[in-house]
Amino acid sequence: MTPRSTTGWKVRLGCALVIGLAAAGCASTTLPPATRSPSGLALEEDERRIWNRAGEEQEKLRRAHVEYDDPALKGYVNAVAQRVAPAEVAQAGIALDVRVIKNPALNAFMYPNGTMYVHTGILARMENEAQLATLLAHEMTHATHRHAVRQFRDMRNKADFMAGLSVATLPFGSLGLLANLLGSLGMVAAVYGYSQDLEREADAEGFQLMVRAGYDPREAPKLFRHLKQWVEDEDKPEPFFFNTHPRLAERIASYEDLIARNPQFLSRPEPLRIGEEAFLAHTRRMIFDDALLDLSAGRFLQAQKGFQKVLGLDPENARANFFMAETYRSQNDPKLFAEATWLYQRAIALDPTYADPHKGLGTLHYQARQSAEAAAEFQQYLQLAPVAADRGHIQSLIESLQKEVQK
Amino acid sequence: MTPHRPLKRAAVAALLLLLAGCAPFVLASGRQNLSEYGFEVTVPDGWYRAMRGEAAEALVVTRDGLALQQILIWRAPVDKELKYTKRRFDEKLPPYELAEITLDNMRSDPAVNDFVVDENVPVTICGKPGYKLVYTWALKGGYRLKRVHYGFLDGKWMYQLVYQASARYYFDRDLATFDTVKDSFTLISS
Repeated sequence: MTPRSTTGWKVRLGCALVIGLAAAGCASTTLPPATRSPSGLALEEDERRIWNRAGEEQEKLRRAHVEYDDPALKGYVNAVAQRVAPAEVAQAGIALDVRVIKNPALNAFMYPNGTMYVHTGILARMENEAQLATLLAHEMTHATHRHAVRQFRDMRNKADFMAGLSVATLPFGSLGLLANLLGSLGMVAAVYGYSQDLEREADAEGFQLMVRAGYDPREAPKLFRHLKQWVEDEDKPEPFFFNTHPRLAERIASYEDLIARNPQFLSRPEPLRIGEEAFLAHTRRMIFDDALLDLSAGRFLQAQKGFQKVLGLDPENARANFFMAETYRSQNDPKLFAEATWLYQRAIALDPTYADPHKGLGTLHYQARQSAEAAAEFQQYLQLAPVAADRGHIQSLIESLQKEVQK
Repeated sequence: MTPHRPLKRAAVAALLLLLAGCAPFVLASGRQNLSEYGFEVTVPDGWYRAMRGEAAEALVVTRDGLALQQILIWRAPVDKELKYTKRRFDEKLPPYELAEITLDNMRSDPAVNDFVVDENVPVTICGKPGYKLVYTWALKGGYRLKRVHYGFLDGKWMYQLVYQASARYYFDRDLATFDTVKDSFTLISS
């Protein structure tokens, strides 16, 4: 290296450090919560852009028809959200609106403008209303405490420093590329989680909210322990915030610590609310539908747990018995076929007009090459469901089975 | 001419050759013998074959671009893991169950929303019992796609023939073309 080029390198690095340090200090990540703006939150420029992006994302989700169609469930979840929400939320201009997405993933996320999405996957794995309140209170704190813009600024400050370095040290700066990248960071944070500090703040503030609303705080760590168990049972975990082992372990530790530091919350004069009955009454149909999604995805253990939950509430539910049988049969493991047969027969005994279990039994006989028995069950299926969508398939199967029987 | 110019020309020529060698699409009309996949098929005039990424594992042809319309034909071992469902095809399953597993795989794709099955009927392809499905779904922004999906088992192989297009305009326009491709499909005995 020549003396001249050494000087140039030093000058460029010096400039980069000055630019970087200046940029790093220019955007504050300390902002008052929206709930301290009773006359309405005055959005800052970058925050407004994030809100606009949130609106665009929500419009895309609306057009894709991802929402779970159950107005009673939506009403119930929103009522719980209103129960835990601080009174100042509406005054601050954050319109709380919880929407349920039909998706088996363990996921929930909050947009900064007050719209929250909760997947059926995470709802179906909760046990009671207090656990739902824990999740809703945690998520709404991300909005009330303006975590999207705070995280965005934090990352931008760090990125500006890197950009400063790039401008000074590279012949062609990459600011345009970087700006495009930064545009999506706020939304990425909303979906995939925030920094550890912001998540801990959401734990602490959310904990206060659920306790103030009268819920039993001991249900908070229980929720995350329960989710962690589900994640451990799943051999292909998804990358969502509530589906990652370390993030769930952090939540458990954080809520256990909050309980240990606030023993007064457990000795209140009024009884603490858990709300198991109300929760199960409103979520029963959704638990069933979510188990169907798990069955489609071949997550047999999760599907089995879902149908078991429904059968625990209603053991004489013929459809739940049938789909439990389907989870056994669909694994293509002959060791499970006896259990499947028993459940199909139980579904038929509970509802003799129910066609689908006959198709299940017919399929088991077909796989065992018992042509006559298979044909008989398929015929029974078509008698009970003459306009079944798969009539053509079953009819053609009966014909081929009858030919085999005649041979 | 400066002494550097021949060098520059050689570099440009090398770059073009390099690019030509890894072209994402090549014109591929006429009879195609894909013995590595165990079938032959006739691709219509003016259609291009995609050569990269996942397309390299199958015959994927398009006329106007993969986002607008494509025909995909591939085979896979019957017990091969599917992309989105953990359910598996099995030689002992009847065609309607193979069809159900195909649908479950689609339903479980996180990019698939508002999934609607329009048709699920038995068919015979190359003398083998199989299924024909017609279904539609929406991507996140609401863009709607439609598919005709044939599938059948031949020994240890699961064959699938798919026509996928934008539900608006393109699907109807090229459906007849796909039918001719499907009718031209023959298995190559190994």
